[in-house]
Amino acid sequence: MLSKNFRQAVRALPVLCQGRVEHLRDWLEQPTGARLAACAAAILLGGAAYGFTLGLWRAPLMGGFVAIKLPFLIVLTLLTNGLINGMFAQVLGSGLSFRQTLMALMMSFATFALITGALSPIALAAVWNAPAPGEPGGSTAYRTILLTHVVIIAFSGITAHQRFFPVLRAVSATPSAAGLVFTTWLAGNLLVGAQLSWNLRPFFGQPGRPVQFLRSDWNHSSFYESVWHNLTFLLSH
Amino acid sequence: MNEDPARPPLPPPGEPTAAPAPSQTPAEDPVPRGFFVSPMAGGPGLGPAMEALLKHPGSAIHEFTDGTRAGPLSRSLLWIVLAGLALFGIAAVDFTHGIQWWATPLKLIGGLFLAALLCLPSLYIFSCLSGLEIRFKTSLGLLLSALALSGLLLAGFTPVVWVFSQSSDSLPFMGAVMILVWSISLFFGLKLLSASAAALGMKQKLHLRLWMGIFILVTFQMSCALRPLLGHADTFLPTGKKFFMQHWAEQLGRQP
Repeated sequence: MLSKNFRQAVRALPVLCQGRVEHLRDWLEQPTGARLAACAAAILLGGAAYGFTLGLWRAPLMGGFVAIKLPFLIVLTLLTNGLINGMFAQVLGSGLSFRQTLMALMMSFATFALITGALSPIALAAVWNAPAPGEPGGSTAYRTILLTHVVIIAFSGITAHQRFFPVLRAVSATPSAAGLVFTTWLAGNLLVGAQLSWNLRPFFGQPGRPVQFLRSDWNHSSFYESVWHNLTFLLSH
Repeated sequence: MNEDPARPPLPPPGEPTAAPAPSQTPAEDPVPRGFFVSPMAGGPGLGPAMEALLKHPGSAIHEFTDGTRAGPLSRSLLWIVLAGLALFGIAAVDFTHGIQWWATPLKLIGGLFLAALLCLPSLYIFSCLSGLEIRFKTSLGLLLSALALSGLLLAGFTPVVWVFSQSSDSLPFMGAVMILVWSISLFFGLKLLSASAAALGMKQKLHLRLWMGIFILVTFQMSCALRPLLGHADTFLPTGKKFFMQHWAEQLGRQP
Protein backbone atom coordinates (compact mmCIF):
# COMPACT_ATOMS: atom_id res chain seq x y z
CA MET A 1 0.00 0.00 0.00
CA LEU A 2 2.80 2.33 0.99
CA SER A 3 4.78 1.48 -2.10
CA LYS A 4 1.79 2.33 -4.29
CA ASN A 5 1.35 5.67 -2.51
CA PHE A 6 5.08 6.24 -2.74
CA ARG A 7 5.08 5.60 -6.49
CA GLN A 8 2.17 8.00 -6.89
CA ALA A 9 4.00 10.64 -4.86
CA VAL A 10 7.18 10.18 -6.89
CA ARG A 11 5.20 10.56 -10.13
CA ALA A 12 3.75 13.78 -8.73
CA LEU A 13 7.17 15.27 -7.92
CA PRO A 14 7.20 17.52 -11.04
CA VAL A 15 4.34 19.40 -9.38
CA LEU A 16 7.01 20.87 -7.09
CA CYS A 17 8.75 22.46 -10.06
CA GLN A 18 5.49 23.62 -11.65
CA GLY A 19 4.73 25.59 -8.52
CA ARG A 20 0.95 25.23 -8.92
CA VAL A 21 -0.39 26.44 -5.63
CA GLU A 22 -3.60 24.37 -5.69
CA HIS A 23 -1.63 21.12 -5.93
CA LEU A 24 1.18 22.04 -3.60
CA ARG A 25 -1.27 23.27 -1.00
CA ASP A 26 -2.68 19.77 -0.87
CA TRP A 27 0.82 18.40 -0.23
CA LEU A 28 1.32 20.76 2.69
CA GLU A 29 -2.11 20.18 4.18
CA GLN A 30 -1.72 16.41 3.92
CA PRO A 31 1.96 15.64 4.60
CA THR A 32 1.68 11.87 4.23
CA GLY A 33 4.60 9.53 4.77
CA ALA A 34 4.67 8.68 1.06
CA ARG A 35 5.02 12.35 0.10
CA LEU A 36 7.77 12.90 2.67
CA ALA A 37 9.54 9.79 1.37
CA ALA A 38 9.20 11.01 -2.23
CA CYS A 39 10.79 14.34 -1.28
CA ALA A 40 13.57 12.49 0.57
CA ALA A 41 14.19 10.34 -2.52
CA ALA A 42 14.39 13.46 -4.69
CA ILE A 43 16.87 15.06 -2.28
CA LEU A 44 19.02 11.92 -2.12
CA LEU A 45 19.07 11.19 -5.86
CA GLY A 46 19.13 14.76 -7.17
CA GLY A 47 21.71 15.80 -4.59
CA ALA A 48 23.88 12.75 -5.26
CA ALA A 49 23.79 13.25 -9.05
CA TYR A 50 24.69 16.91 -8.80
CA GLY A 51 27.22 16.29 -6.02
CA PHE A 52 29.06 13.82 -8.24
CA THR A 53 29.47 16.43 -10.99
CA LEU A 54 30.56 19.01 -8.41
CA GLY A 55 33.57 16.99 -7.30
CA LEU A 56 34.28 15.18 -10.54
CA TRP A 57 36.60 17.77 -12.08
CA ARG A 58 39.08 17.38 -9.20
CA ALA A 59 38.96 13.54 -9.30
CA PRO A 60 36.34 10.77 -9.77
CA LEU A 61 36.88 9.78 -6.12
CA MET A 62 36.09 13.32 -5.06
CA GLY A 63 32.92 13.10 -7.18
CA GLY A 64 31.94 9.99 -5.22
CA PHE A 65 32.64 11.71 -1.92
CA VAL A 66 30.54 14.77 -2.81
CA ALA A 67 27.72 12.54 -4.11
CA ILE A 68 27.43 11.34 -0.51
CA LYS A 69 28.15 14.65 1.16
CA LEU A 70 25.69 16.92 -0.67
CA PRO A 71 22.50 15.02 0.27
CA PHE A 72 24.03 14.52 3.73
CA LEU A 73 24.49 18.29 4.04
CA ILE A 74 20.81 18.89 3.21
CA VAL A 75 19.65 16.22 5.66
CA LEU A 76 21.93 17.57 8.41
CA THR A 77 20.64 21.11 7.87
CA LEU A 78 17.06 19.87 8.06
CA LEU A 79 17.78 17.91 11.26
CA THR A 80 19.69 20.72 12.94
CA ASN A 81 17.06 23.35 12.20
CA GLY A 82 13.99 21.10 12.33
CA LEU A 83 13.01 21.79 15.91
CA ILE A 84 13.51 25.56 15.89
CA ASN A 85 11.91 25.94 12.44
CA GLY A 86 8.82 24.10 13.69
CA MET A 87 8.68 26.32 16.78
CA PHE A 88 9.08 29.49 14.72
CA ALA A 89 6.28 28.41 12.38
CA GLN A 90 3.94 28.13 15.36
CA VAL A 91 5.08 31.08 17.41
CA LEU A 92 4.93 33.40 14.36
CA GLY A 93 1.33 32.38 13.77
CA SER A 94 1.53 30.48 10.47
CA GLY A 95 -0.61 27.67 11.86
CA LEU A 96 1.71 24.98 10.46
CA SER A 97 2.40 21.91 12.60
CA PHE A 98 5.87 20.36 13.03
CA ARG A 99 5.07 17.72 10.40
CA GLN A 100 3.84 20.36 7.96
CA THR A 101 6.99 22.41 8.62
CA LEU A 102 9.11 19.37 7.83
CA MET A 103 7.06 18.77 4.68
CA ALA A 104 7.41 22.41 3.63
CA LEU A 105 11.18 22.41 4.03
CA MET A 106 11.55 19.04 2.34
CA MET A 107 9.45 20.25 -0.58
CA SER A 108 11.69 23.28 -0.92
CA PHE A 109 14.92 21.24 -0.74
CA ALA A 110 13.44 18.60 -3.07
CA THR A 111 12.70 21.30 -5.67
CA PHE A 112 16.30 22.48 -5.35
CA ALA A 113 17.58 18.91 -5.71
CA LEU A 114 15.35 18.25 -8.74
CA ILE A 115 16.65 21.36 -10.51
CA THR A 116 20.32 20.72 -9.70
CA GLY A 117 19.88 17.01 -10.49
CA ALA A 118 18.36 17.90 -13.85
CA LEU A 119 21.29 20.22 -14.60
CA SER A 120 23.90 17.64 -13.56
CA PRO A 121 24.23 16.14 -17.11
CA ILE A 122 25.14 19.61 -18.38
CA ALA A 123 27.62 20.07 -15.54
CA LEU A 124 28.97 16.60 -16.35
CA ALA A 125 29.46 17.56 -20.00
CA ALA A 126 31.25 20.75 -18.93
CA VAL A 127 33.68 18.72 -16.78
CA TRP A 128 34.11 16.15 -19.55
CA ASN A 129 35.21 18.83 -21.98
CA ALA A 130 37.41 20.79 -19.61
CA PRO A 131 41.19 20.35 -19.22
CA ALA A 132 41.97 18.26 -16.12
CA PRO A 133 43.89 19.68 -13.12
CA GLY A 134 47.58 20.09 -14.02
CA GLU A 135 46.98 20.15 -17.78
CA PRO A 136 47.46 23.31 -19.87
CA GLY A 137 44.43 25.54 -19.33
CA GLY A 138 43.62 23.72 -16.10
CA SER A 139 43.55 26.86 -13.96
CA THR A 140 41.12 28.55 -16.36
CA ALA A 141 38.95 25.43 -16.34
CA TYR A 142 38.97 25.47 -12.52
CA ARG A 143 37.62 29.02 -12.41
CA THR A 144 35.11 28.45 -15.22
CA ILE A 145 33.64 25.30 -13.71
CA LEU A 146 33.56 26.82 -10.24
CA LEU A 147 31.67 29.82 -11.60
CA THR A 148 29.27 27.53 -13.50
CA HIS A 149 28.44 25.68 -10.29
CA VAL A 150 27.91 28.93 -8.42
CA VAL A 151 25.43 30.01 -11.12
CA ILE A 152 23.64 26.63 -11.08
CA ILE A 153 23.33 26.60 -7.28
CA ALA A 154 22.15 30.22 -7.14
CA PHE A 155 19.60 29.68 -9.93
CA SER A 156 18.27 26.49 -8.32
CA GLY A 157 18.04 28.06 -4.88
CA ILE A 158 16.24 31.18 -6.10
CA THR A 159 13.84 29.20 -8.30
CA ALA A 160 13.01 26.72 -5.52
CA HIS A 161 12.16 29.57 -3.17
CA GLN A 162 10.13 31.41 -5.83
CA ARG A 163 8.04 28.29 -6.38
CA PHE A 164 7.59 27.63 -2.72
CA PHE A 165 6.69 31.00 -1.16
CA PRO A 166 3.20 31.33 -2.76
CA VAL A 167 2.32 27.91 -1.33
CA LEU A 168 3.41 28.93 2.14
CA ARG A 169 1.38 32.12 1.81
CA ALA A 170 -1.68 30.12 0.75
CA VAL A 171 -1.63 27.80 3.75
CA SER A 172 -0.56 30.31 6.42
CA ALA A 173 -3.05 31.97 8.71
CA THR A 174 -2.04 35.43 7.44
CA PRO A 175 0.18 36.65 4.57
CA SER A 176 2.40 38.55 7.02
CA ALA A 177 2.94 35.37 9.06
CA ALA A 178 3.97 33.57 5.86
CA GLY A 179 6.52 36.27 5.08
CA LEU A 180 7.95 36.19 8.59
CA VAL A 181 8.14 32.40 8.72
CA PHE A 182 9.72 32.25 5.26
CA THR A 183 12.36 34.84 6.19
CA THR A 184 13.12 33.10 9.48
CA TRP A 185 13.51 29.69 7.83
CA LEU A 186 15.69 31.16 5.11
CA ALA A 187 17.93 32.95 7.61
CA GLY A 188 18.23 29.85 9.82
CA ASN A 189 18.99 27.52 6.92
CA LEU A 190 21.58 29.92 5.52
CA LEU A 191 23.22 30.36 8.93
CA VAL A 192 23.44 26.66 9.71
CA GLY A 193 23.84 25.45 6.12
CA ALA A 194 26.90 27.66 5.60
CA GLN A 195 28.50 26.33 8.78
CA LEU A 196 27.74 22.68 7.99
CA SER A 197 29.05 23.03 4.44
CA TRP A 198 32.22 24.50 5.97
CA ASN A 199 32.50 21.45 8.27
CA LEU A 200 31.91 19.05 5.36
CA ARG A 201 34.37 20.72 2.97
CA PRO A 202 35.89 20.06 0.42
CA PHE A 203 33.11 19.99 -2.16
CA PHE A 204 34.80 21.27 -5.27
CA GLY A 205 38.37 20.50 -4.27
CA GLN A 206 41.36 22.74 -4.90
CA PRO A 207 43.86 21.31 -7.43
CA GLY A 208 46.84 21.59 -5.06
CA ARG A 209 45.21 19.85 -2.11
CA PRO A 210 44.67 16.12 -1.58
CA VAL A 211 41.38 14.38 -2.32
CA GLN A 212 39.74 13.85 1.07
CA PHE A 213 36.28 13.08 2.40
CA LEU A 214 36.74 15.67 5.15
CA ARG A 215 39.59 18.04 5.95
CA SER A 216 41.60 17.07 9.02
CA ASP A 217 40.68 20.42 10.64
CA TRP A 218 36.96 20.05 9.88
CA ASN A 219 35.89 21.05 13.40
CA HIS A 220 38.57 23.62 14.28
CA SER A 221 36.97 26.77 12.94
CA SER A 222 33.68 28.24 11.83
CA PHE A 223 32.63 29.58 8.46
CA TYR A 224 31.95 33.00 9.96
CA GLU A 225 35.39 33.25 11.60
CA SER A 226 36.92 32.45 8.22
CA VAL A 227 34.87 35.19 6.51
CA TRP A 228 35.88 37.62 9.26
CA HIS A 229 39.60 36.76 8.97
CA ASN A 230 39.50 37.10 5.18
CA LEU A 231 37.72 40.45 5.43
CA THR A 232 40.18 41.84 7.97
CA PHE A 233 43.09 40.55 5.86
CA LEU A 234 41.69 42.23 2.73
CA LEU A 235 41.07 45.51 4.53
CA SER A 236 44.51 45.60 6.13
CA HIS A 237 46.52 44.86 2.93
CA MET B 1 -13.06 36.26 43.59
CA ASN B 2 -10.29 36.00 41.08
CA GLU B 3 -11.45 38.54 38.54
CA ASP B 4 -10.06 41.95 37.85
CA PRO B 5 -12.80 44.56 37.59
CA ALA B 6 -11.62 46.29 34.42
CA ARG B 7 -11.45 43.23 32.20
CA PRO B 8 -14.40 42.30 29.96
CA PRO B 9 -16.09 38.96 30.69
CA LEU B 10 -14.76 35.87 28.93
CA PRO B 11 -16.75 33.62 26.60
CA PRO B 12 -17.54 30.02 27.55
CA PRO B 13 -14.54 27.61 27.58
CA GLY B 14 -13.50 26.32 24.19
CA GLU B 15 -14.52 29.44 22.30
CA PRO B 16 -11.72 31.83 21.49
CA THR B 17 -12.10 35.28 22.94
CA ALA B 18 -11.94 37.99 20.35
CA ALA B 19 -9.36 40.68 20.87
CA PRO B 20 -10.91 43.62 22.77
CA ALA B 21 -12.42 46.28 20.57
CA PRO B 22 -10.72 49.69 20.57
CA SER B 23 -13.64 51.21 22.41
CA GLN B 24 -13.29 48.69 25.23
CA THR B 25 -9.54 48.99 25.57
CA PRO B 26 -8.08 52.39 24.82
CA ALA B 27 -4.64 50.83 24.45
CA GLU B 28 -1.87 52.51 22.53
CA ASP B 29 -0.96 49.11 21.07
CA PRO B 30 -3.72 47.13 19.42
CA VAL B 31 -3.91 43.52 20.53
CA PRO B 32 -1.90 41.39 18.05
CA ARG B 33 -4.02 39.43 15.61
CA GLY B 34 -4.62 35.87 16.68
CA PHE B 35 -3.86 36.55 20.35
CA PHE B 36 -6.83 35.30 22.36
CA VAL B 37 -7.06 35.17 26.14
CA SER B 38 -9.17 32.02 26.39
CA PRO B 39 -9.13 28.90 28.59
CA MET B 40 -6.52 26.22 27.88
CA ALA B 41 -7.90 23.35 25.84
CA GLY B 42 -5.94 20.56 27.58
CA GLY B 43 -4.58 20.00 31.05
CA PRO B 44 -1.76 22.04 32.57
CA GLY B 45 0.86 19.32 31.91
CA LEU B 46 4.14 19.77 30.08
CA GLY B 47 2.85 18.91 26.61
CA PRO B 48 -0.24 21.14 26.66
CA ALA B 49 1.80 23.95 28.27
CA MET B 50 4.36 23.81 25.44
CA GLU B 51 1.60 23.70 22.84
CA ALA B 52 -0.13 26.63 24.50
CA LEU B 53 3.06 28.70 24.53
CA LEU B 54 3.70 28.10 20.85
CA LYS B 55 0.17 28.16 19.42
CA HIS B 56 -2.19 29.86 21.90
CA PRO B 57 -0.11 31.82 24.40
CA GLY B 58 -3.22 33.70 25.51
CA SER B 59 -4.61 30.50 27.01
CA ALA B 60 -1.62 30.23 29.37
CA ILE B 61 -2.16 33.84 30.39
CA HIS B 62 -5.85 33.11 31.03
CA GLU B 63 -4.90 30.56 33.70
CA PHE B 64 -3.06 33.28 35.62
CA THR B 65 -5.89 35.79 35.37
CA ASP B 66 -9.16 33.88 35.55
CA GLY B 67 -8.20 30.21 35.48
CA THR B 68 -8.08 27.68 38.28
CA ARG B 69 -4.93 25.82 37.26
CA ALA B 70 -2.27 28.49 37.79
CA GLY B 71 -0.30 26.30 40.23
CA PRO B 72 0.10 23.18 38.05
CA LEU B 73 0.71 25.35 34.98
CA SER B 74 3.42 27.28 36.84
CA ARG B 75 5.17 24.01 37.65
CA SER B 76 5.08 22.97 33.98
CA LEU B 77 6.38 26.35 32.85
CA LEU B 78 9.14 26.18 35.45
CA TRP B 79 10.23 22.77 34.12
CA ILE B 80 10.27 24.15 30.58
CA VAL B 81 12.54 27.02 31.64
CA LEU B 82 14.86 24.67 33.56
CA ALA B 83 15.09 22.12 30.75
CA GLY B 84 15.54 24.75 28.04
CA LEU B 85 18.38 26.52 29.88
CA ALA B 86 20.05 23.25 30.86
CA LEU B 87 20.01 21.97 27.26
CA PHE B 88 21.25 25.32 25.95
CA GLY B 89 24.09 25.34 28.48
CA ILE B 90 25.15 21.76 27.82
CA ALA B 91 25.13 22.33 24.04
CA ALA B 92 27.26 25.46 24.33
CA VAL B 93 30.12 24.16 26.48
CA ASP B 94 33.26 22.34 25.49
CA PHE B 95 33.47 19.20 27.58
CA THR B 96 37.25 19.44 27.81
CA HIS B 97 36.97 22.46 30.10
CA GLY B 98 36.67 20.68 33.45
CA ILE B 99 33.70 21.64 35.57
CA GLN B 100 32.06 23.73 32.87
CA TRP B 101 29.82 20.93 31.60
CA TRP B 102 27.74 21.23 34.76
CA ALA B 103 28.74 24.72 35.90
CA THR B 104 27.51 26.50 32.75
CA PRO B 105 23.94 25.08 32.78
CA LEU B 106 23.79 25.71 36.54
CA LYS B 107 24.98 29.30 36.12
CA LEU B 108 22.52 29.94 33.28
CA ILE B 109 19.61 28.65 35.37
CA GLY B 110 20.73 30.46 38.50
CA GLY B 111 21.47 33.68 36.63
CA LEU B 112 18.12 33.81 34.91
CA PHE B 113 16.15 33.07 38.06
CA LEU B 114 18.14 35.69 39.95
CA ALA B 115 17.47 38.22 37.16
CA ALA B 116 13.77 37.33 37.23
CA LEU B 117 13.63 37.72 41.03
CA LEU B 118 15.38 41.08 40.84
CA CYS B 119 13.04 42.34 38.12
CA LEU B 120 9.72 40.89 39.26
CA PRO B 121 8.79 43.72 41.67
CA SER B 122 9.55 46.33 39.02
CA LEU B 123 7.53 44.36 36.45
CA TYR B 124 4.49 44.58 38.71
CA ILE B 125 4.94 48.32 39.33
CA PHE B 126 5.72 49.12 35.70
CA SER B 127 2.68 47.06 34.62
CA CYS B 128 0.57 49.23 36.89
CA LEU B 129 2.22 52.34 35.42
CA SER B 130 1.26 51.00 31.97
CA GLY B 131 -2.37 50.98 33.05
CA LEU B 132 -2.72 47.26 33.69
CA GLU B 133 -5.07 46.34 36.50
CA ILE B 134 -3.50 43.04 37.46
CA ARG B 135 -2.46 41.34 40.66
CA PHE B 136 1.09 40.42 41.62
CA LYS B 137 0.32 36.76 40.90
CA THR B 138 -0.64 37.67 37.34
CA SER B 139 2.58 39.58 36.75
CA LEU B 140 4.46 36.52 38.04
CA GLY B 141 2.51 34.38 35.58
CA LEU B 142 3.27 36.78 32.72
CA LEU B 143 6.98 36.69 33.49
CA LEU B 144 7.00 32.91 33.88
CA SER B 145 5.18 32.46 30.57
CA ALA B 146 7.62 34.78 28.80
CA LEU B 147 10.63 32.96 30.27
CA ALA B 148 9.11 29.58 29.45
CA LEU B 149 8.65 30.55 25.80
CA SER B 150 12.25 31.78 25.73
CA GLY B 151 13.37 28.51 27.35
CA LEU B 152 11.40 26.48 24.84
CA LEU B 153 13.03 28.31 21.93
CA LEU B 154 16.45 27.86 23.55
CA ALA B 155 15.76 24.12 23.62
CA GLY B 156 14.84 24.34 19.93
CA PHE B 157 18.12 26.09 19.21
CA THR B 158 20.14 23.40 21.00
CA PRO B 159 21.16 21.45 17.83
CA VAL B 160 22.21 24.72 16.14
CA VAL B 161 24.31 25.78 19.15
CA TRP B 162 25.84 22.32 19.38
CA VAL B 163 26.93 22.44 15.70
CA PHE B 164 28.75 25.73 16.33
CA SER B 165 30.26 24.71 19.69
CA GLN B 166 31.70 21.56 18.14
CA SER B 167 32.98 23.45 15.09
CA SER B 168 34.86 26.35 16.62
CA ASP B 169 37.57 26.70 19.26
CA SER B 170 37.05 30.46 19.45
CA LEU B 171 35.47 31.57 22.73
CA PRO B 172 34.51 35.09 21.48
CA PHE B 173 32.73 33.49 18.53
CA MET B 174 30.80 31.07 20.73
CA GLY B 175 30.01 33.93 23.08
CA ALA B 176 28.54 35.86 20.15
CA VAL B 177 26.49 32.82 19.10
CA MET B 178 25.13 32.45 22.65
CA ILE B 179 24.23 36.13 22.86
CA LEU B 180 22.51 36.00 19.47
CA VAL B 181 20.48 32.90 20.36
CA TRP B 182 19.59 34.27 23.80
CA SER B 183 18.53 37.60 22.25
CA ILE B 184 16.25 35.91 19.68
CA SER B 185 14.65 33.68 22.33
CA LEU B 186 14.21 36.57 24.75
CA PHE B 187 12.71 38.72 21.97
CA PHE B 188 9.89 36.21 21.50
CA GLY B 189 9.43 35.87 25.26
CA LEU B 190 9.14 39.63 25.70
CA LYS B 191 6.87 39.84 22.66
CA LEU B 192 4.53 37.41 24.41
CA LEU B 193 4.68 39.57 27.53
CA SER B 194 3.84 42.67 25.50
CA ALA B 195 0.99 40.97 23.62
CA SER B 196 -0.43 39.62 26.89
CA ALA B 197 -0.28 43.07 28.46
CA ALA B 198 -2.08 44.54 25.43
CA ALA B 199 -4.76 41.85 25.67
CA LEU B 200 -5.20 42.50 29.39
CA GLY B 201 -5.84 46.21 28.82
CA MET B 202 -2.47 48.00 28.76
CA LYS B 203 -3.00 51.72 28.16
CA GLN B 204 0.61 52.84 27.61
CA LYS B 205 3.44 50.72 26.34
CA LEU B 206 6.29 53.04 27.36
CA HIS B 207 6.74 51.77 30.91
CA LEU B 208 6.60 48.14 29.99
CA ARG B 209 9.15 48.72 27.24
CA LEU B 210 11.38 50.46 29.73
CA TRP B 211 11.10 47.46 32.03
CA MET B 212 11.99 45.14 29.14
CA GLY B 213 15.14 47.17 28.49
CA ILE B 214 16.08 46.90 32.15
CA PHE B 215 15.45 43.15 32.17
CA ILE B 216 17.64 42.64 29.08
CA LEU B 217 20.45 44.64 30.72
CA VAL B 218 20.14 42.61 33.93
CA THR B 219 20.38 39.28 32.06
CA PHE B 220 23.44 40.52 30.14
CA GLN B 221 25.07 41.65 33.37
CA MET B 222 24.32 38.23 34.88
CA SER B 223 26.35 36.62 32.08
CA CYS B 224 29.29 38.74 33.26
CA ALA B 225 28.67 38.39 37.00
CA LEU B 226 28.66 34.58 36.68
CA ARG B 227 31.57 34.38 34.20
CA PRO B 228 33.10 32.38 32.73
CA LEU B 229 30.20 30.62 31.05
CA LEU B 230 32.57 29.34 28.33
CA GLY B 231 36.19 28.27 28.42
CA HIS B 232 38.36 27.19 31.34
CA ALA B 233 37.57 28.38 34.86
CA ASP B 234 39.87 28.26 37.88
CA THR B 235 37.06 29.24 40.24
CA PHE B 236 33.33 28.65 40.04
CA LEU B 237 32.59 32.39 40.33
CA PRO B 238 34.76 35.37 39.28
CA THR B 239 37.00 37.11 41.78
CA GLY B 240 36.71 40.62 40.30
CA LYS B 241 33.76 42.83 39.35
CA LYS B 242 33.11 44.16 35.85
CA PHE B 243 30.40 45.72 33.74
CA PHE B 244 29.30 43.38 30.94
CA MET B 245 30.30 45.80 28.15
CA GLN B 246 33.83 45.93 29.51
CA HIS B 247 33.92 42.12 29.75
CA TRP B 248 32.72 41.67 26.17
CA ALA B 249 35.22 44.22 24.84
CA GLU B 250 38.06 42.40 26.63
CA GLN B 251 36.93 39.07 25.21
CA LEU B 252 36.73 40.44 21.67
CA GLY B 253 40.24 41.87 22.01
CA ARG B 254 41.67 38.46 22.95
CA GLN B 255 43.36 36.27 20.36
CA PRO B 256 41.08 33.36 19.47
